[in-house]
Amino acid sequence: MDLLPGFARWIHVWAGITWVGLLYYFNFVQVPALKEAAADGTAAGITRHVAPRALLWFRWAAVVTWLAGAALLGKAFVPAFTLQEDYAAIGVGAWLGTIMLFNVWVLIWPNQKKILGMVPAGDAAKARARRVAFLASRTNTMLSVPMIFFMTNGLTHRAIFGL
Amino acid sequence: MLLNRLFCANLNTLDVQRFFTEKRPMKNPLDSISGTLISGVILTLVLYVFLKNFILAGV
Repeated sequence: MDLLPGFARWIHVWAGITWVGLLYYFNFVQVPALKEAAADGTAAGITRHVAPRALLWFRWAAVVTWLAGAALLGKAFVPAFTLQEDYAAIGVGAWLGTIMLFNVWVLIWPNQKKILGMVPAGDAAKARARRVAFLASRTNTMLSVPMIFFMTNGLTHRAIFGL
Repeated sequence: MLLNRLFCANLNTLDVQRFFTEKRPMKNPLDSISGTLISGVILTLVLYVFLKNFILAGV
């Protein structure tokens, strides 16, 4: 049983890198690139071949990250999510990660399916979906900043920050 | 007078009045990458202060 936290931590960090790495790819690379690609008529290559693959890894990496994080917390799961003493800092990170997972599956992915034509949608619905998905993705990028702070310091470096 | 000093410009009463009354579209910080990251850093500080002073206060 002592092996479980070690494996859970390994998978949590591994999947987390994939998830947040792709989140940063979308926000720092793909969105600005799509604006320029749309101007010269080459956006289809990205939306047809790159975005669906990136989104597949993105949304499932989010699930694996959360599950491995929950396994890693183990008995501390409830104390963390109820912000009990000793687990409050990691609990804030866990809550932020959970909100981000919610955004991925409830706001980003359903709207991306409309944008990429995987489900039928009119022009107005696509325009709205584009804005909702964009803002949800940007919200996750914003949340990732405190999430990484509390995740990386929440258990091992609390004393340094007086938490 | 204070605004004059602050902005080093020759502002008159009308300029000041216009500054406070004209309608400027409010920008969403999430529309830019820098705004998003700055918002993230500010949120980190807010959560840290909240955690330290309210959740963990008295512990």
